[in-house]
Amino acid sequence: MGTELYFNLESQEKFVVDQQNLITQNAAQEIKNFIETKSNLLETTVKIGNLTTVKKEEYKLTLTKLIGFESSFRQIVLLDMQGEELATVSRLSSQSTPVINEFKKMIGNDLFTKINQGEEYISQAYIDTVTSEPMIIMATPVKNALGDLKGALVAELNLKFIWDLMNEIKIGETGLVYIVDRQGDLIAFKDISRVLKNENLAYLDEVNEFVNENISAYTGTSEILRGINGDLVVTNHVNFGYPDWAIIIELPVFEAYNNAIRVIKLSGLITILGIILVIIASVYLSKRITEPIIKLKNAANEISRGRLDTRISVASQNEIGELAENFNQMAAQLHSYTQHLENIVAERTSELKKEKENVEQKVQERTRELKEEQAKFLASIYSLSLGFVLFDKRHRILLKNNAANDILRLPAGDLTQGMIKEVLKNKLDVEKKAEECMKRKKQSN
Amino acid sequence: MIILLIIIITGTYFVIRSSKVKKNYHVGILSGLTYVSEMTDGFKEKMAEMGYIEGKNTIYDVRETDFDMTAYKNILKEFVENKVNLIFVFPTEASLEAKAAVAGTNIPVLFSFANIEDVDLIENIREPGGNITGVRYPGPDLAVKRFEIMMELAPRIKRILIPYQRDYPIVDSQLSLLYPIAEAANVTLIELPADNTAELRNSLREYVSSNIDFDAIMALAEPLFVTPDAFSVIAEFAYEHEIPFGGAYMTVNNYSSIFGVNINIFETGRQAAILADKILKGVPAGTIPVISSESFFQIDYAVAQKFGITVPEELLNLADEIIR
Repeated sequence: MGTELYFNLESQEKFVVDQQNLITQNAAQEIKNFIETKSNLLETTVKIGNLTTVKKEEYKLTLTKLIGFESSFRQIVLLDMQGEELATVSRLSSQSTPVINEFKKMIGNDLFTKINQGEEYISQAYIDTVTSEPMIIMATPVKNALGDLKGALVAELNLKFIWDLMNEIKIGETGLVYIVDRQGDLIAFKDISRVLKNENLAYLDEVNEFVNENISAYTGTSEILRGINGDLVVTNHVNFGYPDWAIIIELPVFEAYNNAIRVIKLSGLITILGIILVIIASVYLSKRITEPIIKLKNAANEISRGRLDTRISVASQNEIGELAENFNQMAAQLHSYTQHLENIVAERTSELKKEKENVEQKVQERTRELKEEQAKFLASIYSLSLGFVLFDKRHRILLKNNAANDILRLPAGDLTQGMIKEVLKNKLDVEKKAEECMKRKKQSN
Repeated sequence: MIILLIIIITGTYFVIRSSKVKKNYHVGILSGLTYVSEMTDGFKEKMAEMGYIEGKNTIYDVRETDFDMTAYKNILKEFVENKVNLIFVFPTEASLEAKAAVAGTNIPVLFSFANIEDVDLIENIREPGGNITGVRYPGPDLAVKRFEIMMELAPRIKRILIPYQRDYPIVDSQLSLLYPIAEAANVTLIELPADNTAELRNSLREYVSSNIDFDAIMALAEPLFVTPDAFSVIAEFAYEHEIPFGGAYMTVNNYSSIFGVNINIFETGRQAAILADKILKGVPAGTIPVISSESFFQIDYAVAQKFGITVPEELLNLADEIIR
């Protein structure tokens, strides 16, 4: 984008320069043509009017024809070589005598300096005090057929046309154009009040360049400088050459590079927009992917907690949707298997329970039988007339009958083998006999 | 979401674009003298060339009346109440009324066909001040020019009748210029002030009954002569008694004056439009220098011949229009 902007600026600059050059050249040419046409008209009048040969009475007729033909001539005077008035024609009434005198005053030595050299003369532009319109004085030498100088035909030319032209020239939306003379005095500008103030613009760089130029050359280069209104402008000027004026053209920088600025703005906007869209798209897409996965995760958690009826709904037709579908199927199957297992376990548990009950019942029965046998055994032991005493390995008496008590005259209460040994101490080594019994029992097994 | 964003951006673009639509302008035009009503046409034509299109971005409220101060006041009051963007007004009296009517408002006034001498219309030509500017009517200069042409057409005349609207403000400034020039030419000026056409007619009848002691009739820059009724009275009198008359060129009921030195009314309207453009673009009217109308010299060659006048070739060369 940087490269594109650079080339855009370059081409924009070239376009502005070319456009300015075209406009200034056209305007300058139009004004030059205007001046030159009037000058040619004076020359033609001198030649065709035979001003050097006709009678004096016909001077005025010729001049009135000229002034009637060309509306921009306000006054015309025919002078001899001494500067004496031979004939005068004016659009003004005689009450405008001061204006006429002023006009004649302005026809000073400068005019005859040029005329004596056989050259045309153009004065500095000035503002008419009554009409506030711009005027110049033009003069052309009057020569006879031999080329001898005989006088001067002098005309006061109204330059209002140039002001109208300045108003009509459009330089973009806010561009300006104005004309200055060689001294830098403002001659024509759309803000007439500044012209009427005889404003000198030599302080402006572009005007200063013209004022100090030694050659009448069209520079063709535009620069960014301060303009007539103090703002930064892309500016250029064109010398008329004849008359010795220049037309200055200005275009505010922001407007001159408007397209490039617009491109930059647009590019920036598009970039920002693109970033926003990318962010939105990313968020949206990621949500579209992560949301189902989160759902899957949550569902898996629920299932791991035992909620096998958990299902997820993902309304998408892509792989995520398929995954969700498969997950649901898996969950359903798991649920089904679990259910089945639970059923089996339940059944088995039921069976085991029954068996247990049977076993318990049998145990109870057997216990009852054993207890009955034990009771019988004990009854038979107790009913023996023999004395019966049962010891364990630790010489603890487990069982004894009444006969033993009677025979041995054992005391009541708990007895130990020691107590019986004491009773039988000289009669029976109970302990020794007990060991012999146990050995014989082991050998028989 | 994306579609919503696109809609918002597109909508914003069109809102911004529509906010840059050009402003509409409301221009009040007070055409206060029928004689120069063509001024409005020239004004509108130039305005249209500059982009002020009637019916599209510009509304013209055109009110036509003749020399009537009460009507001027009422129309201008309406313009002010309607808050027009600009008042374009002519001639002098209407312009003065306009200046008074907009006092205290920010409505600019653009005058035309208005004299600036001896009236409190502007401060000076270069910076008229207030909120007013316009195209001046070079009344005194034209009056002298008319006299000079009359003298060239009929060099033998000695007494010139000058009818005019009584107490018209700029008559005095014209007469004060004319008197010394006439004296220098050994010509006597006979003033004939009148309030209206009836008085003018009666005055001319008195001359007939007593003695017609003038040999030309000339118009000053004032409204009475150019009112159709008054012009008819003067023209009938002049034709009947073969007295050359002119100054302001008019044709009413097949009667025409011999010559007129005036301004080109249509072109003056166009000149005014250029100033209007500046005003409507925001330049304070009081800072825009007053410009002058250019004179326009017409000769009715046929009528001149009818009056037995040989028009010098020089005069024909100077004429901007020769009517045959």
